[in-house]
Amino acid sequence: MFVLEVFKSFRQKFGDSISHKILSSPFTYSFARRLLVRKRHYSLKALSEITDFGLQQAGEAYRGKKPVAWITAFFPTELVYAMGMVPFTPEIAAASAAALDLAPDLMQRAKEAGFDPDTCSFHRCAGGGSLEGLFPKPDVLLASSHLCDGAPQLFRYLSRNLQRPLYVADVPAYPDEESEKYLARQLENICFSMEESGRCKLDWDRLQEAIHNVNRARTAQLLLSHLRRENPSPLWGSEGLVTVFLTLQGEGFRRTAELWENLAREAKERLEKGIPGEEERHRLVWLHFKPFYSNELFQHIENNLGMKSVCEEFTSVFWEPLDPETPFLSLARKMLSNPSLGPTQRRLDWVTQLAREHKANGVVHFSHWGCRQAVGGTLMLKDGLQREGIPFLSLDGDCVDARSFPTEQARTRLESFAEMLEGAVI
Amino acid sequence: MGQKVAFTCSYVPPEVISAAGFQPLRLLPENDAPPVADAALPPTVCPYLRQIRQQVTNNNGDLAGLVVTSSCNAAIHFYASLHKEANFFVYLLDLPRKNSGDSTGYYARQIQDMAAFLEERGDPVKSDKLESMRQERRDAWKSLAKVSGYTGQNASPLPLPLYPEMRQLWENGAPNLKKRLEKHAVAQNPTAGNYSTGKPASDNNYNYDSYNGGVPSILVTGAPFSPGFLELLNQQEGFKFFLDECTTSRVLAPPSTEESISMGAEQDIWMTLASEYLEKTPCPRFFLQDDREEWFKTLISEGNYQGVIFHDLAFCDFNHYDALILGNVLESHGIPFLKIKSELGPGEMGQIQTRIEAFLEMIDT
Repeated sequence: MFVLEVFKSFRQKFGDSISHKILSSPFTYSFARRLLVRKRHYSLKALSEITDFGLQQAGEAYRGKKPVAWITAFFPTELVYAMGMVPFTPEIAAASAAALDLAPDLMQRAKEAGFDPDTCSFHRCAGGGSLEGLFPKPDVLLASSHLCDGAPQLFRYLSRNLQRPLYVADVPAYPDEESEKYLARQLENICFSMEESGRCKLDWDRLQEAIHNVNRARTAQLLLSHLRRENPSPLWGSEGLVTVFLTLQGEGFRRTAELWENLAREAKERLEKGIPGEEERHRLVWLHFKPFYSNELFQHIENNLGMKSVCEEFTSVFWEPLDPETPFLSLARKMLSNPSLGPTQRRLDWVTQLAREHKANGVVHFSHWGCRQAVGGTLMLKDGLQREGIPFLSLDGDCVDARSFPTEQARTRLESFAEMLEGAVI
Repeated sequence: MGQKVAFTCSYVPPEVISAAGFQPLRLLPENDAPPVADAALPPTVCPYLRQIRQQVTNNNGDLAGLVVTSSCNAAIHFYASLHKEANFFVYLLDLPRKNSGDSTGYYARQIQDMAAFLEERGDPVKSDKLESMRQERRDAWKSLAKVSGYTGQNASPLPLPLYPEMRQLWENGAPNLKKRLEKHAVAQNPTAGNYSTGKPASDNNYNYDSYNGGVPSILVTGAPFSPGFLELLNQQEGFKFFLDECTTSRVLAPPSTEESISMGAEQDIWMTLASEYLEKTPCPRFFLQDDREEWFKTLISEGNYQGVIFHDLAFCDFNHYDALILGNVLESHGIPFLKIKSELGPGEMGQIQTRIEAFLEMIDT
């Protein structure tokens, strides 16, 4: 994910001597940021800036000057921003650990502590990282229950283990007026409860600012989405998935809005200048995440097979603009409008819409083994998309545990899928 | 009583189903292996849900409908896989994860919406009928709790020999069960080790006699058990087994708002029902003020258990983390713990038997 390349540089520099001390030091992240500027790894400046933003947040969390909130992947970070806290997402840390090849050790640590091997590897790795003391100390843990059953349970365990309070947003299964009000009251109460505990304070001006930032980011995201509908697209999946960090840990932050705007501007410039020598034989919608450990999946998909992801599910805009006059209700609406919430039909309709809008002729679902929500719906998605005439491939694997990704089998299946797409036009 | 309406979760109020003129039927795990290849649910989805999906899709017409709660992502997929294609109606009841005032209000509305849905397909759900059904069920629960030795604030785990009666409650409804229980002797607190027998009228061959002596008590908790798993426990001589899961003790705790249902306006009925169900003995899906660790500590402190067996359903995150938390509590109490991973199939029984026997042998020595 966002720190992958920088951490690779770390490994090259420090070899196996990467220690907990290095990873837990805020200076490491300052150093990584300087390194990032010099390396110019990404072809677009905005993508480097996203990585820089991630490193900045991580450094801030380890520095410990501001209260730190551990959050599950889909908790609204707008509230973290409004409370003046630093967000830290153990699931993102797990992805970084996978990139650093630390995940096997951390999952082993979790196994020794009693974690079941059936649980999601993001969570086993995050659990192991926490038990090892690798992560910045949290002041609070914030979880939302939607899309993932395991993360709130992991946070329950970690909350007891770390002796820090846990606040859970209970997200209903489908959106309507009642569920919006129910969720909005909870979000408000979570803020008030944190305030009462004296750990942080809700700043109403910052909350307004967060809402403004999200709307600003949304406009830029929509612009980028429109630009990516061009053929060839100015941004493909291997780069597009870098922005997942912004949607998981950056919503509501001013920097996030700026980065989306920068990315959209650069994408536009790319289109205007032309994208030489890049073949776009097939256009894909990419569902779920990708492997975060070292692998050549996207290189194979994009360079060898000519299949380019022009839209990623987790970075697409699905919500209406937020109303600054009703911030909690707006955030509740945003959470409840997530197409992956509730019965699969909603996700199916959404994916169909994305495929049509982006003129994609195939959909690939990276089926992360431990994800009940994503994997549980794949057969119904396949059936539904086939009825719409959209080819679908469920690629079995694991985002964090390289041992659970049958690489050769995946290559064969992707090659067969590419052959099948030859005749598929939407 | 009309056609059956099945349900999947102990938080569904069967009295609402009854009041709409249907016969409530809790779908329980069976001994059949879940299908490996299912058209809608991949093999890494909850085996209980895959198993009952097979049960209900083989429905020969006596099932009018099915109520599914949004208990987990797998359950929502289960609902989605059936609601358009089944030859019966399927309803998704949204279940909160908290029991605050807001959650109660939200759940009251959800139950009320479910009642409206059911009465469109059955009888009008009148408040007096609902209250009557509720009282019948409450009486049955109370009787069962009494026979099982329920004494305190929390529901005591159910003695294994009473499981067939509990199954009757789920499969045939409350009135029959109450009559059946009235015929039996009332037990004393089984956890005190002096449980007195009263063989139920069912044709089961569960051994009550072993519950008389001062033999070791084993708590069996976790996910719902298959009949094969329980038969296996029943064959183990020299031990008393007490069951704690969502089809046994977790429905026995008395509601805290016992009398309020008949006191207020009609809206109060839904609030009372919602409150009763949300305040019952919690399942691991819930996030309450007193969390799972406290609940397990209470459970352990109220019983004199020499060992704990955890029935861990494959691919169930709630179960996996519950086992992790319970394991830590038991470690601090020095109580032996056995986690049995299960996919509910008959093929795994041999291995489970070996592990249980080895565990009990270790305790015995």
